[in-house]
Parts: sequence; structure tokens; C-alpha cells
Amino acid sequence: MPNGRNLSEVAVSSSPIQVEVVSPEGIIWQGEAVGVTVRNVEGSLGILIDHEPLLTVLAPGAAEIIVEDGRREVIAVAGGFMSVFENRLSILTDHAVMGHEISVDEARRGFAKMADMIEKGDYTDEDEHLYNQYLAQIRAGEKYAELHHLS
Amino acid sequence: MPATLRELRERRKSVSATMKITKAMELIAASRVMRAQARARRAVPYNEELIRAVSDVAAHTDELHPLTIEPAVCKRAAVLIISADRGLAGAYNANVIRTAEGLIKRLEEEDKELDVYTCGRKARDYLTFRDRQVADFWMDFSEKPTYKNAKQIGVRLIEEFLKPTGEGGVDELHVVFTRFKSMVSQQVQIVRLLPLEVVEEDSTALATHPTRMSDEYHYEPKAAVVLDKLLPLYIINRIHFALMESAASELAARQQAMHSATDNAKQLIDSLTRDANQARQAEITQEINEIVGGAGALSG
Repeated sequence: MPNGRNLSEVAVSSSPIQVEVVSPEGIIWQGEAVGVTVRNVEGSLGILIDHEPLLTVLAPGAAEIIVEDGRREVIAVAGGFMSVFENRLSILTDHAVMGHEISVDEARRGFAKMADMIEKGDYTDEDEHLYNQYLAQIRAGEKYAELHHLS
Repeated sequence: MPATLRELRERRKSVSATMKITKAMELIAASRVMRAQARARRAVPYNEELIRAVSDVAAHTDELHPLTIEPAVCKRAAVLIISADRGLAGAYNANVIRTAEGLIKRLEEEDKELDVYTCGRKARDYLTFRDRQVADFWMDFSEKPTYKNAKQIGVRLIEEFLKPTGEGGVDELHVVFTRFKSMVSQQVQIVRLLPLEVVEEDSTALATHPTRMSDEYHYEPKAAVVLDKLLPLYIINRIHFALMESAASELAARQQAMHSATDNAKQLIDSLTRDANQARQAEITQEINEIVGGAGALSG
């Protein structure tokens, strides 16, 4: 029923985006947001209210969620997927860490080690996965630090 | 000759020591089942999102993905058996292994070559003891499997599946695991995981969230590439699910087994106590008899 749908779309157009970040270990973050920025395989990508339906492959990096009062949540997301549909946005990843839980120094050390192994060509899928996790943590950790020095 | 009083008391002591152990194991298993169930519940949102994404994309693309293609003839099949690392869980391991044997026999009758993969120490021990080939095995996490474990297994099996048959690749993959129905009922299931059919008969995810109009979706990069990334995740997630269900089943089976062991021990203690009392009474009676007899002989 196209008419019915249009009406309901008008009615909900000003409501915030329902965001859900899920990993196999559970829901990492859930709430309402006015905007979300993620990094996908093609670059940085911003999602605002009433974005068109989208399904995209994410690259390791920070997902920045702008909550209604202007607060920003930063979450490290090591790849995965994001789907957007009718103001519902879900990020699906096998590894996610909240910004305040990240230790950038630790991530850098881990990253350097993994980068070394990968450069030598002597690595497993597991190592590559860790590499992505550290990369996401560094990116998110830096963003988190930047936000919190400013405020 | 009936057991002496001392023997009976010794036996009772040993049974009650065993009972303490089985009781403790029962309590431990009970609390772990709870945690295993909580973990399984936490994985539900991810599972639902993933199924939704896969069915959306699958509806959108006409292209056949290598993971979904049915081979014309199946020459080689892989079986993944998910068992426990430890025994003392009633018939849990025996049930898994019996079902797996049935499946293996069926596949062999269909003239398929078999690669058997095992999860958990028990299945591997069973097979190696009988000099049977195990293609690969994973163990030491049967009670508390993580996503990482599932990923390891999944990556390996997908790799085997995508290999051409000529190079030892498999054409289908079956998983034998135990479904957790309730604390008192667990059921062994066989699921054919590959080639993939995206149907989720048990999940309510699709019923409550009917597939959306996928034509409206915008894909980045294009749908086929997204699918390519999604499907392995889907398979790993199925394995994760099977591992978690099996872990909960194992623990529930162990709790039940230990519960009946404790009950049996209680009964045994009761009957041993009775026997010991009888033996004690018999001893006293005999002593009195001897004294009375002795006194009688003296006075006589």
C-alpha cells in the first residue's frame, strides 16, 4: 500500500534514528541518534535521519553516533555491515569496543606487531583479524580523545 | 559371609564422599547452564540482524554465490561432529556419536568420500581409538565456546568447501550438534550447512520482520560483493549457534546426570546405613549370647 506508507513516513520523518550496534557477544550500544558517521569500504559515510535504505560493508574504523543532545558516542568497529532502513540503523560486526574502553597505546603496540607480521607475509586469518581490530581501535581511540579534549 | 560392620561403615564413608563430589558438580553445571543460556540469548540480536541482511541481499541478487551452488554430483562430504571435552554428562556424548555414526553410514552408502571434523575431545577420542581418520579437530572449549572458536572452524570448513573437488575439496558439509530444548530435554540434530540454503525454520526473526522491499536498497559496494562478505559470516554464525546450543545441552545433561548420581548415592547411603545398623545389632546380640552362654556354663 504505497499511500499508507507515504503517510507513515511523513509522520515519522522528524523522529530520531534507532541505532543498534550488535556483535555475537551481545548488543554493544543501543539508542536514538540524529546522525551516524561510519567508515565503509569506499570512505567516510554520514547517515542522517530519513536516509535511503542502505546496506554496506564497513571498513575497520570508528563509528561516531551523534545523540540527540549533541553528545557523541565513539565505537571502534572492526569491519562488518551496516544496514539502514526506515530510520533503523544497525551495525553488525564481530568486534566492537566503546570509545572510553579503548587504550590507544595498547592498540598501537598490537597494531605495530601485526603490521610487521603482515608485511613479512607470515600471518593467519586470525592475525589479519587482530590487525583490523587494532586499526579500528586506534582510529576510534584517537577520535574519542580528540572529542574529549575539545569539550 | 556378610560384610562386617567396619566394612559397611567404610563403604558408606566412601559413598558419601562421592556424593559430595557429584553434588558439587551438579551445582556447578547448573550455574554454568544458566550462563551458557544467557550467552546464547545475547547472541540473538546479532543472529536476527544477520539473517535479515542475508535474506534481503539474497532476494536482491540473481547471481548464484559459490557457497549456495548445489554440485551436480556430490563426491566428497564433510561431517562436523560437536561433542563435549569431558564425560560425566549422561548419554550426551553417546547420543552425538551414535547420530554421527548413522549419518556417516548413510553418506558412505551414497558412495561419498568422507572427511570427519570433530569438536570436543570425546568425538575425537572415539574416532582415533577406532583408527578412523579425523581430518581436523578443535577442542578445549566445549563448555564455553566463543565466537572466535566458531570463526576458526568456519573459516577452515569454508576453505575446504570452496576447494575444487579434484584437490580434495568437499561438496557438502553436515553438522551434528545437540539442540537445547529445555533443562531436561536435549536433542541431537543433523544440519546440512553447505551448500547454503537461507532458511531459518526456528527463528522468529523472519516472521516478525518480513523481508523488506529489497529493490529499494542501495548497496555499497554492489549487492553481489556484499553477499560475498555476508555469507561466510552467516555460516560462521550458524556454527557459533550450534556450538552454543551444544554447550548448553552438555551442561544440562551433566547437571541431570550428576543429579541422579547424587540421588543414587543417597539411596546407597540409606541402605548401607541400614545394613550397618543390622550388622551392629547382630554383633551385640552375639556378644550377649556369648556372655550369657559363658555365664551359664560357669554356673552350670
